Amino acid sequence: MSYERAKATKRTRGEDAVPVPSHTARYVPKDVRKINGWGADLDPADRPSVPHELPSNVMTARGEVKHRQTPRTKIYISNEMPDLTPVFGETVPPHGLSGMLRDFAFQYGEGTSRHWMTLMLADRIDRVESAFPDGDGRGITTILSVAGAVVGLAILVAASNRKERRDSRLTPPAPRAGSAPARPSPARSQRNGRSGRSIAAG
Amino acid sequence: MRAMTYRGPFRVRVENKPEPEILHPNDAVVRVTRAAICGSDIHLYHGLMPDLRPGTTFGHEFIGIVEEVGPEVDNLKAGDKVLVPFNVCCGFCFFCSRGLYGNCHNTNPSATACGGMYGYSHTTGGYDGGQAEYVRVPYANFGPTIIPPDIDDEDALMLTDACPTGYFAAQLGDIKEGDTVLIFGAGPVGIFTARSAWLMGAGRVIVTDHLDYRLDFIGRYGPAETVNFTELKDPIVYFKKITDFIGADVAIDAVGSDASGSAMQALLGERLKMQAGNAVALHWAINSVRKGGTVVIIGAYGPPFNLVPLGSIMNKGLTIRANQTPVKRQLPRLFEHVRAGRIKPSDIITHRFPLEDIAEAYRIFTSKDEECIKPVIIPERAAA
Repeated sequence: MSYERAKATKRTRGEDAVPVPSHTARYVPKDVRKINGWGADLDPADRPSVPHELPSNVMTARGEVKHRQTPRTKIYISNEMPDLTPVFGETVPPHGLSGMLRDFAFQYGEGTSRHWMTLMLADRIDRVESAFPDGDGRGITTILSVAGAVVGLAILVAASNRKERRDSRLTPPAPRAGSAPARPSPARSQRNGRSGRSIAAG
Repeated sequence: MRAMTYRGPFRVRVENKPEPEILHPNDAVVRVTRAAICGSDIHLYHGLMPDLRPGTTFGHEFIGIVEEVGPEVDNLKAGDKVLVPFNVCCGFCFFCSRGLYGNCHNTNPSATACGGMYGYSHTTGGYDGGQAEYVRVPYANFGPTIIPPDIDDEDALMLTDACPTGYFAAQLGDIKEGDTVLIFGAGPVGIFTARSAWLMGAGRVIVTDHLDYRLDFIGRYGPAETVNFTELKDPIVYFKKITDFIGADVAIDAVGSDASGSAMQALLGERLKMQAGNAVALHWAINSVRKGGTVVIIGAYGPPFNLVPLGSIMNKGLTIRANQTPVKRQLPRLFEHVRAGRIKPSDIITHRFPLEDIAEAYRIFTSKDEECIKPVIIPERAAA
């Protein structure tokens, strides 16, 4: 939009055109070019993130890694990552039931809602687990949280069982006598390409 | 050391935690002198980020004094006063080498959806943040920047995230001379986005929010045209009317997942957590920008998914631009703007709290009490 057009559209502003009392431009000068700093970065060359990407010869995901941090706790690695990153945070390692749910979540990729929703569920359970040791569990809130977690788990298990049943209906019939032996079916997690990864304390 | 710790949604407190250690030759340990609570910390406070474990210390806006450096750190030494960009980034991976420091591939093992960040859940790498007395700073050769002597400490604090993020949002909008820029959200990022839009040569800057005190501040600070959307029957129709029924050239979502304005979005995103927070600001941005215009998403959302009008994006031929801000890249030019008086970042600070009172700071910031815009946290050992 040209500067002239912007000025023209300004004419429709105000109570006559749009009767809304809270719309105010009382601090904006009529000539916006008088605003302190106006146009200082008008030239894209003055804008530090133009272009968005700088040219580079680095063609590998990690680049040249010289040193790697040694894990001291269990660190989850996204299955969309080639390996453990050279540095990572070690705060609050997974534990208890919430940790088991996190194990489950990291069997799935970041493109699945199972991954994220299970992590959200684990967070809620972790909140309850973390409340007990220091005695600040708050009666009804805690009970509701646990109840919610149990219902959530039940839904997950039910959904998983339903898929299992559907998969079993789709399994081809057993080969007849005399035909070539069927190849052993890979484990379900392999069929789905799942490989939950984590690195435990070394 | 004393550190803020998350205990579950809406609950934080200060606890004793072990002091951070050097875990990699390129690490540093920084004694925090000032930290800030960011609007995106509120998303964490509300429990909207997945893999947010109780015990985590928040805080991705902090400055401090270098206490200790690893053997490979050669451009910092103990005693240096540094500002630490919120991105944890290596500087040499595929993405960092292209200037995308917010997308570093070497600092977050748990998700490719986001780079490493301080104090922002295990989905961003599991690093503790700076709302504490000490913090571990990985890749200290690259990220931390020594604060120039002519830059005020609290200006530097705002240059760790809020100010560069607003400045970056305006750049993502590819603003041309005379453009009408419509900004959703008058929080710290919205304020700096409005200021930056003028630097890029905007012709009109309009900001909407539901808080009059913030609109009044941004109206003067930007300056900007302001409108309280709670007084509008239909905000989208209104924005069309005030732009000659064309729409804004650039619409910027500076709110993220804790927006107000839609009961359905609030129910699904915040109460039931069926989507990654409340996306009403983005929804409005898409609908109120002109055909062929640009929508910038700089407000923070969690990774799963959100309800937004994809059909309108396609049918209107919109350009959607978004990213985490590569802070380090913005700093040299922002230092120039601060020195020239074009931006005074610390002007947005309204509250200062000792670290021990951080629960109260979160309560006031979240509930927008006392006309709070930006709270700063001061650890007891800041002056040590």
